[in-house]
Amino acid sequence: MYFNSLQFLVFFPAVLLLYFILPGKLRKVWLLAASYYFYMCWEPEYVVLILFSTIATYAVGLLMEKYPNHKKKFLVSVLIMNLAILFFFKYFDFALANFNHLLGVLHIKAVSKPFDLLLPVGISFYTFQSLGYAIDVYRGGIKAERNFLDYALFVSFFPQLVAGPIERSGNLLKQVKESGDKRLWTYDGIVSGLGLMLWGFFMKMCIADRVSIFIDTVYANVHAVGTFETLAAMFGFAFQIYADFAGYSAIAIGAARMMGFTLMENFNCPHFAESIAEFWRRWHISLSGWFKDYLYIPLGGNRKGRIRKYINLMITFVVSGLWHGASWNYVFWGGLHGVYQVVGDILRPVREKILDLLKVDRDAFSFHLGRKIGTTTLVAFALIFFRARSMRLSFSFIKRMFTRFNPWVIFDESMFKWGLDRKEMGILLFGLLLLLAVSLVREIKKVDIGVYLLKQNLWFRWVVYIFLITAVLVWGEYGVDFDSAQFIYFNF
Amino acid sequence: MKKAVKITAFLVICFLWLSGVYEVLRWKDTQGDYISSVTELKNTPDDTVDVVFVGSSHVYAGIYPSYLWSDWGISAFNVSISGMDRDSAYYYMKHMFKTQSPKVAVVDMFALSFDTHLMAGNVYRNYISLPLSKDTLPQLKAYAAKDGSVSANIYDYVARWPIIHTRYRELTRYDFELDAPNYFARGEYPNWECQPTWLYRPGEVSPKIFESDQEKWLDDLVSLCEENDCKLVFMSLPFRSYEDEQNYIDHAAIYAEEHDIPMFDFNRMTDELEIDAQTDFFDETHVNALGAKKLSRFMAQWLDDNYDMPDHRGDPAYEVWDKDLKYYEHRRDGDAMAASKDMYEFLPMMLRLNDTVAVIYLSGEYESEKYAVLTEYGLSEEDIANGGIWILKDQVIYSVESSYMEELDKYSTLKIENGTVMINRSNYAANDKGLAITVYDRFLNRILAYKQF
Repeated sequence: MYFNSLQFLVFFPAVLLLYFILPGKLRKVWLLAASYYFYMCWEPEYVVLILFSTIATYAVGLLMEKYPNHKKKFLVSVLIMNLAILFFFKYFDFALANFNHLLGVLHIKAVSKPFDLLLPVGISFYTFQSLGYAIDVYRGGIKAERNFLDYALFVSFFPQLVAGPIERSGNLLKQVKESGDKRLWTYDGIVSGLGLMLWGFFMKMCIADRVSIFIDTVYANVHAVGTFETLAAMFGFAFQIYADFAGYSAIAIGAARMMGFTLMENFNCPHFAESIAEFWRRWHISLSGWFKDYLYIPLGGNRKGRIRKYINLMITFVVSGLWHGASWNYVFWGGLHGVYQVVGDILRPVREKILDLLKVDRDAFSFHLGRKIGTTTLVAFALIFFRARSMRLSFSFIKRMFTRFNPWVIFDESMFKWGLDRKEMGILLFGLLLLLAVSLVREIKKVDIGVYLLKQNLWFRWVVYIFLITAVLVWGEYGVDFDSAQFIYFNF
Repeated sequence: MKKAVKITAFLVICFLWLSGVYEVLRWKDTQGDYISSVTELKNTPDDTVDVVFVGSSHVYAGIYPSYLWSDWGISAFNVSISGMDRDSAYYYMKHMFKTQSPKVAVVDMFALSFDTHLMAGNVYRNYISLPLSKDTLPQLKAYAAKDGSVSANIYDYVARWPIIHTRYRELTRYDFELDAPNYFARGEYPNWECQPTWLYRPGEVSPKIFESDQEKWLDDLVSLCEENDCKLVFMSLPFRSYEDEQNYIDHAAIYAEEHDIPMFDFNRMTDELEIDAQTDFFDETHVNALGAKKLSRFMAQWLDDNYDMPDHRGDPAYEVWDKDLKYYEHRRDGDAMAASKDMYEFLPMMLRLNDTVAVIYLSGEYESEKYAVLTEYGLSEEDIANGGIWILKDQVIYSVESSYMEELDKYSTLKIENGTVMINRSNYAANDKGLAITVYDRFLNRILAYKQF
């Protein structure tokens, strides 16, 4: 059940209504049942996996507390179990293909055919969330949860189950426990949550799914494109994936907020970042934080000298790339982000010297704008490997970008022949301008659009809500003849 | 309490707004002209229809309610939509019976010859033109069981937005305000074009065995009409059929005989009605206005003879039929003017038409004698020799000396200035060789003819 489906349109209000009506204890049972139903709408049999992950981490939490002397063994065993499942469903075919390739080089017959398993939806998300809990208990940061119902709801809470944000037990589990004793929801939370959800739908259905038509057409015809189509597709995909994923997160956070739960922020205007490091503090914050807390810092972080810091950075980003998908493309994409940071750090003194020599005013708007554009360009360039699905296609794409200079396509309207005509491009441009405006609100006012609208006069809020509902219903890419693009992050 | 009021107010405003947006976006086309039987049924006063004709484009091309009205005063209505399959014919009739109580329902049997649609667009139109009701689900289920080729699912049809929302790309004025009256009127498609064709001459009656659902459809029609105290009549309008299709119609004739239902198979009556394949069709499967006249008049006479149809002409409750007839006549005369190439034929027609504004423009080099006939319309010989611009309105002609502007109707403005004749943004000035005439019809809200002689 996708958020942008008719099913969800019926499911969510029904869940919400009953959640508001039911007494305390039953509310949690209802939410747990709804969450499992939500998950089972994809592949019902894979419910076994999430159930196993839940039971294993729940039991290990209790065992670690009961037998503190053996807690390391318990942690390692639960890590292995969960990561083995993740590996089997997500990486086994990839590993097998590479192994077979290696055997082929050595002129040895391949060992097996790929399993072609269907990737369980959201497995990377709930696995990391439950492992985060186990590690927190191991570290003593939180106490092991004794109520299985609460813990199961923490792992499976449907708004963030399949694509995050990857919650920490210190935040969500605590709220789950409270939700049985008191009403968490407020009128303001419902109003601002609804606003945030509507904005999320707009990002996903009017921007991400619309720009994807252009991107898909360009990537399917790389043999026929030149510099300007590739540049448009490169930056276009950066906005597509942002609108797609941040849109999903907004819906998830908004839906949770309507029920009185506060999920962590997942995006904070990443296109305003002035460095790659800052970008990762603004992009997919819940995952970046997870890797920082549970991988980078345990590896030593930046505490063990410059070389170790660079190695740790590279490991973290390569693993992050692999987390996104079982393909060398994702590994390369992650690695490229690691390289950006390492090279950026090494060249910092040179960069500073050049800026001094050129007497560049570091406080000027143009300086910050330049940095933002530079960072966005680097991010967009790396995303070529993310989107292209194969290394060969990635390099073909980049080659066309640098060797087929064709500025006339901007003037002879051929840009409108890549799936989006003038009218559709107009809507897309309008959507992107709106995205910029909302991002500026977030950047300046430090609140999300839901909270910002809540503070506005009633007439303005209603106009915006009704506009967003209408825009999604009319301009949204859904329905007949449209193969609704899946939320990109479902596959990770 | 205050919050409950706010929430309710928001929901009400939202609902009203979205209903308005839906009204603009909804499918409303027949042949892409934004109107349909359902729309027109809504615009027809309740309990005024005496006879309905039901079926696909064969019906709206072959039966003109205006013909039944003009000479008999019979209030006829075509429940007709392109590619009307059996299920939609049944449910459209059911919908019609909610507001009308016709004495007779004449159903075209062409629907027997096909199960599914080749074009998804037809399916969408046929199934989402009807308003939502308790019949919606059974109707969709009946069709979905047959057609797996349509990408929309039942929920899309019920919700409708998933199908209609992309119409924002093609919105025109007609999506915002439907013209009433319009040529579709009580469900007719006046067309004076002619394309010679040939007709299949059915031989011996050779019925094709029905599938169970074909027989059931006929049974359902019988029940539906009995429930609504309406006499059922079958017909098959003339079209270039093939043997298979004719065999189904033959079977329908046998069914009709068994159930004592009158049936007219016009493919077998073309000689009797003097249907001429060379003059009476606008394409190979649809008759034009000439053919429709023969068919409509035959049906009108038969209905009048057999069911004692009341003559409603002059009754204010039936005003829409008067308007339809006027619309039809304007269309007919306009088409004749547009087709005319002879000035001596054109000018009398122009004078005859009411509710028109004609701009007569004489300029350039020409021989005055050629336009001497204009003296019969109020111009002097001197006027003709000197040239100029005149406006003919309500049988009165007057000269335009310098600039002139007139609101022709709520859609168009005439502006004459510096030798240009602008109607909205188009220039209808004369050529350099003499006479140009532009005729604007304020009843049809459009230019009828722009001619140079």
